[in-house]
Amino acid sequence: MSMDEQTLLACARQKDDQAFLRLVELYQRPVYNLCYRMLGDAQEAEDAAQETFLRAYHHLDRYDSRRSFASWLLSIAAHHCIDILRRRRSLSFLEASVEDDELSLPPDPFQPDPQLVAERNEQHRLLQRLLLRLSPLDRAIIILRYWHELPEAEIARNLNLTVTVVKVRLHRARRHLARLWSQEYTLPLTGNAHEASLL
Amino acid sequence: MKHPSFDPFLPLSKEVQEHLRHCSSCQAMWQMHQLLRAAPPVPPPADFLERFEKRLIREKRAPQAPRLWPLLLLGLVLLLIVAAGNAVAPRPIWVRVIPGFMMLLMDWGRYLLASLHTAFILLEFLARHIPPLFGLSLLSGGLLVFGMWCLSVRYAVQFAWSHMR
Repeated sequence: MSMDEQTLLACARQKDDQAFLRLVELYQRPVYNLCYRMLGDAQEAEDAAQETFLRAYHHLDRYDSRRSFASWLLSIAAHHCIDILRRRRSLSFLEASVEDDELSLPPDPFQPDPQLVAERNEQHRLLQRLLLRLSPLDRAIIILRYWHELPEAEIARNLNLTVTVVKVRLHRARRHLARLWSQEYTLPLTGNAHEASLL
Repeated sequence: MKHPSFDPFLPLSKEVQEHLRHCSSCQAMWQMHQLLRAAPPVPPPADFLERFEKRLIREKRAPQAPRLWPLLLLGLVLLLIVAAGNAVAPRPIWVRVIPGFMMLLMDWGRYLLASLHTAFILLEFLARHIPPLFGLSLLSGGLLVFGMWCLSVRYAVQFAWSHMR
């Protein structure tokens, strides 16, 4: 964490709203991404991300400064999303399930070929759809590991699990996703050029 | 075929690379790992911060949700006292309110005693006529229903409160 962030955190703890808003600006992207990947709905993801920041605002005194602030925020967001998904599952007999909406990814400035861009977007859209079929906990583990690059020990700490459980669930979720992909889609699973050449 | 265990985040050994060339299921998993690694994060809407700021201001201005448990318990106790008092006393409570506040307080005291008396009579009756095990199950059943009722009221008010904001 940079000195600037530490200063912002110290100010936010003194109930300086402008400092807290600056922190929101810094971390809105990872928190929103986690909520979107977990919930699959833009509106719900925005609500969940805002709720995450509000909880962080109210409980800033509980934040242990030895931990990474981003990791603490992601932990709040993951627990909140898991709660939403469990509530959604328990209410699913009352209302229609929420369908994943269209994934809008940022344009890739290094990819000039429109066909490749379209193929890449399609792959990521399908991936998001498969992600929503994992259990909430497995989904959270996959998202924290891949999109937020948290080490397994940190994920275990954030989700109150053991490192072994995280490793097993990560492996199982990856295998499950690969199996679902091969069963349901004809689009090939391709990695980047370096990894493709490896195989 | 024996699948070697490997961590895809670490550099692959020669043995694993060789295995991946021949095993389609491990290859699919490896490619899924690559796809996950390549997936970009989804950006938040452009006005996210602005909307959060508005919500924060609204949240700070809004009155705090009332504490429900004490109110609920007080209401229930009063209701029980009045109901028991009305059942035992010769005249309904509202007739006795008229003479004045002091009289009312005295009456309430009397009703409270009468309610306790009724409760003792009821307990005595139950102890004589109902087997202890059945009585206990009846009591725990009643407590369970009461607890569920309290929970449902709590969640209903919480739900209404969150939608009012």
